[in-house]
Amino acid sequence: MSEPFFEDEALGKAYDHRLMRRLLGYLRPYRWSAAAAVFLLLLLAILQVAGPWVMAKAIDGPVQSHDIPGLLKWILIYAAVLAGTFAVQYVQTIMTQWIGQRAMLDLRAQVFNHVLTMDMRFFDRNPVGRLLTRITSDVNALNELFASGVVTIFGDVFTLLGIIGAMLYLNVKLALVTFAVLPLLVAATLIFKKKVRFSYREVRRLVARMNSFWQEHLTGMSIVQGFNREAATMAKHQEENAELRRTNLQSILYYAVFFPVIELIGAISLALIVWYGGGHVVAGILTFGALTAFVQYAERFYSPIRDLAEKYNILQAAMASSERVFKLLDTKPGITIPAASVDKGAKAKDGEVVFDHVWFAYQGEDWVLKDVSFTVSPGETVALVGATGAGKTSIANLITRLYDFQQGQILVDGIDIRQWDPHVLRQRVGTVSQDVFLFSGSVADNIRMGRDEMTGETVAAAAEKVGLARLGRDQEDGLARMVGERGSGLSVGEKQLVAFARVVADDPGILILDEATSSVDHETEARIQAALELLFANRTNIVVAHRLSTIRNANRILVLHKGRVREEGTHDQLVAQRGIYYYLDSLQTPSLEPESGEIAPRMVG
Amino acid sequence: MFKNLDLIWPYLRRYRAYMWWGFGATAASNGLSLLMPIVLRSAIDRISDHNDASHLLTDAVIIVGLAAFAGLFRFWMRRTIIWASRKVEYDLRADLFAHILRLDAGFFDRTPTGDIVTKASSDVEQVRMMVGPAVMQGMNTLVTAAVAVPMMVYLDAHLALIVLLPLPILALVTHLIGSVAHQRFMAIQKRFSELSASVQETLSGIRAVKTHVRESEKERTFREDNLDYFKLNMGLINISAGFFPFLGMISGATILLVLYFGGKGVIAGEIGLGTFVAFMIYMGMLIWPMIALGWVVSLYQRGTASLRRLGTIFNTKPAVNDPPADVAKHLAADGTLEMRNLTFSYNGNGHSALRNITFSISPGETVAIAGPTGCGKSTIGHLLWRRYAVGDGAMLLGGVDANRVSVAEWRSQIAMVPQEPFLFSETLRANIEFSGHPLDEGRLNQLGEYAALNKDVADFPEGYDTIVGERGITLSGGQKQRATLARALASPAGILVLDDAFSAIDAQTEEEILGRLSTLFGSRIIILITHRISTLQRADRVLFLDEGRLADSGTHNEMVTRGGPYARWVAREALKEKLEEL
Ligand SMILES: Nc1ncnc2c1ncn2[C@@H]1O[C@H](COP(=O)(O)OP(=O)(O)O)[C@@H](O)[C@H]1O
Ligand SMILES: Nc1ncnc2c1ncn2[C@@H]1O[C@H](COP(=O)(O)OP(=O)(O)O)[C@@H](O)[C@H]1O
Ligand SMILES: [Mg+2]
Ligand SMILES: [Mg+2]
Repeated sequence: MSEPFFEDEALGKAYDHRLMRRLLGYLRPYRWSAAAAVFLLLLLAILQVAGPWVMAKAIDGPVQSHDIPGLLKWILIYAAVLAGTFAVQYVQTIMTQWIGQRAMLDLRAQVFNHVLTMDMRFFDRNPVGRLLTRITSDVNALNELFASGVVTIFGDVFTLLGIIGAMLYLNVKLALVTFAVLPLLVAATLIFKKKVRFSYREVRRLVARMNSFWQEHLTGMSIVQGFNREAATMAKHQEENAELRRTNLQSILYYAVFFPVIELIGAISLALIVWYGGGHVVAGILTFGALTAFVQYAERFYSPIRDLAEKYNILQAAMASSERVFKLLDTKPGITIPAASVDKGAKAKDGEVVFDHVWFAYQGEDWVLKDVSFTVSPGETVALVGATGAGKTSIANLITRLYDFQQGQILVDGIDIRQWDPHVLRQRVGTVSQDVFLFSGSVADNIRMGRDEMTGETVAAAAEKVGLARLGRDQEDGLARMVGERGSGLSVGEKQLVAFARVVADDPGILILDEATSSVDHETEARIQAALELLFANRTNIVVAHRLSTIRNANRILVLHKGRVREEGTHDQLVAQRGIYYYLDSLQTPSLEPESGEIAPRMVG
Repeated sequence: MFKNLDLIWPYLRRYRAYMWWGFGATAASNGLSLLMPIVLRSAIDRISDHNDASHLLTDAVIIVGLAAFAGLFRFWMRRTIIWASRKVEYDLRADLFAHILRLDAGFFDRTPTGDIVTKASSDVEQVRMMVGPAVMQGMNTLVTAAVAVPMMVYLDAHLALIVLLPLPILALVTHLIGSVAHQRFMAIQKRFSELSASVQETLSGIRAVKTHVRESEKERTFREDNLDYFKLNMGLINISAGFFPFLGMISGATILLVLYFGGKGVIAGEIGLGTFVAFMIYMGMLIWPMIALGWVVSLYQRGTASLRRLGTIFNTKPAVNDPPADVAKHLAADGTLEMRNLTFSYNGNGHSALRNITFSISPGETVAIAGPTGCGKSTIGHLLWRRYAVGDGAMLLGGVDANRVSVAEWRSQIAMVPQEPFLFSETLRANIEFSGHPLDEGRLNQLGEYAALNKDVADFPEGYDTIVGERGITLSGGQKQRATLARALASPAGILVLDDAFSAIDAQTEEEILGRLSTLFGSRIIILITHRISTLQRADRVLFLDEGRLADSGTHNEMVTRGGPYARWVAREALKEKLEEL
């Protein structure tokens, strides 16, 4: 759990040109809206500069010339500026946020769709939790960048420029005197930013550590308690806790110093304006209104500068997230649609499955299937039998090309499966998995699995066929039955029936059935048997069989042991051989009573 | 049951000195800041009325001086209140962890780990926001209003009345928009977790999606969910985007009022230009605290909700407790372990994992427990470890009832190797020393030898000082099992319980380890939970469980010869082992 966790915490470079360009690419579809938003920001900057200006006019004009109607006029203008600011700011904010949300919508869909194209090896390597983080949280972190970062930087710059321009226009000398505090302001902000950035990272790191400490010790709580290590564990917790507190207290110090310092700088600029500007007013060089405007402009300096510093953090977090997201997007799927998928002409071999010296390993050289060869003729039902881990499910995985094998060849309908479009192949070869995965929703939803064009009749017919239409003692409507997360609420047998119904609805030409090992009650067993016979009719069937009854339905049995096909034949032939199948069969048989007295002592003695 | 705030009082009381200092600093700082407009006023009045620039430098110095002292106090304000809040956070988290350390396994079964971690991080943080920033801003607003309003009334009561009117609207709007926004925000959060849950479901069921070729359907549903999430977000944006602009407009409007009514006053000669400007500045100073007030209310609401959630943990009483001191007894060395008519169920109702279990194991005996999966073997281990409270029946050691012995003393007699090996992400050495008995090099090597671990460790980059688990090298299943075995062996406990501890170790190595153990464990009790036949044969006695009942017991050979449930089960296990060898 903490590997991706720490990985997530690793903050990369604050700014990466390459990443930024790629990110901005997501704004392209909305470039006109973005341009409009930037234009509004320009307007906003003008309005922000206009406020104090109008106020100055009012003070210098009507207030000093005792002109009440004139005052009212300026009041109305000021009110118009206020209303305009409100409207522009509101629309502009909505627009930028909208763009950010749209871009996220697109990116999130792209990441999700990309993940869906990945092969099973990818999913083995990448835990669901990590992928989920990429699709959800990481994409959200990017939203911050779009919604509050990129575009508003323009706003801050415009506003700063506007204020500087207005001040210079009003009085160059006073403006320059006021700007004297700017280096102080910038220096204070930069130092603060640096300190805070460091402690911000440090705090994030420690918070992540604290969380993984909790996670780990909650998981291992039985060990802590069982070995009487509560006190020692508490002491360790307090070490981490104290470290976190120390870092937090330190960052308080930065804030506690920074804010008063900024206020002090503000007071200094005010004092400068009063002292220098006041003198000018007395000397008649500066109007009184202009002086007030200066005071207000000076105040409006701070927030854009502080904002710019803050955006740095956002930028940094977003860069780290985008790096991870793009890395995922750049991972190519291992199994792709072949450029020219072969048109299958050889109708004679329709329904045939051939394994030709297939070698397969999930990892490196850990061969799970070793030199497996067999042929299943059209319309035949073949049972695959073997102990747990023998490689039965792996064979099913290869036929549907969930994994690619290392050596040999697999043919379906006489065509190498690597020449099939995997989607077409999987439509041709239907699968019932060993542990049936049901999605939350109704049974009907689970049969349809999102395929809306499937008619209600098809679904109902499929359910009827496998005996799912009526469920339970009270014969309730089986299709409407709600299924919880991961299929909770249905018994193992019922889940299997749902999976049968899926296959019936899809009606594939070749069926792979990986039977569930768990036992089911007698009634369900009977229903499954009935459904199986219908299922097997008119298809080629490869069945990983656990139930004796299923095995007996098969034309032929392949015995798989430790990755090799070791025996082949009918039930009676194989029992007579007294080999692997014989033992497997004895294990399957519920009552070993008559034999046990004979076998057990001999085998253990 | 804690009322929401009851939980937090003791912590606040502990740091009340900080709080008082903070209050003092807030008052002082605001008091000084609020003097500044007065200085400005006299400066302006001198300029406009008397064209007198002689005092300007003094005024400027006073303004900077006031700001410097105000800043000093403002520094103290943060330094005390926020400081205290971090200490409260520290204490609260510590107490939460200490409380959780005392809780029984039932609590951990019921409560997902993620929930607890969330409570420890975000709920504790919310409470901190309430006792820190919210208190600070609250005080700030209080003091600013308490000083600025009388000041303005003193300057001009009539004007003050008019211009102060819109201010409460600010607090109200902040709070109202804040609540609506919070609701929408919660709705978004909810939708977000639904979205995550549905993505998680799709990814967990990726095999089904692929084999049934439903990628495009999943894409479509995701697109719809995603769009829905987008729309909810825009719903929040539509009101929150207006928030700051609206506040800006309202505060602008108050300035407008000053401009109009103040301006009229100046024209009529009723007030000086200085007073007018001072008013303007006071208004500016009041606006932020008013906005903050709305924010404070929201923080308070969220903080109390978090306190309520934390309360549910603090209110959970541990089910496994020490006996009252007056009835407590001590364990003697080398006692007989007994269970008498013990019946146990995990959730109190219905299904019992153990039914009427009675057995007794004398010192020096090695006893195996066998039976099909789910028959209750591990449950016996859990109870021996006192992870759950013993319900019906009794568990005794040397004739002393478990409920009469302190939990720690009882547990010190049990060395457990649990079915699922768990190691902390620390060095191997620290893991083996976990029982709290430091080991010298010789002893460590000896334990490694017993657990057949030394050969593996020789290959590790830093031997026993290699960090294992999440932050270090990943051990194989068998290595983990042997490491947990070494950890158990390091404890001097009188009873060693091995719960299927060799499942990932080959039979040969298991034989070797068990051979060494029996010499090491003269008078101690060894309980082996296993299904390996060679191990069952080695045990002095086998207890065979079936569906929570003791279905058979005796020596392996006895029971096999006798026939019965154990013999039948062994036959199947023997077949499985035989098959493995083919
Ligand atoms: N996704 C996987 N990654 C790595 N190893 C796997 C994976 N799936 C199965 N295995 C391993 O491959 C072997 C064969 O497994 P499987 O085909 O599922 O057997 P069966 O279905 O006969 O029980 C087992 O040793 C199993 O542990
Ligand atoms: N924490 C738990 N909460 C509820 N039921 C449990 C818990 N642990 C085990 N059980 C149930 O108790 C029964 C006995 O389990 P357990 O002792 O683990 O079996 P064994 O170790 O023999 O395989 C099983 O039915 C199991 O599902
Ligand atoms: Mg399988
Ligand atoms: Mg168990």
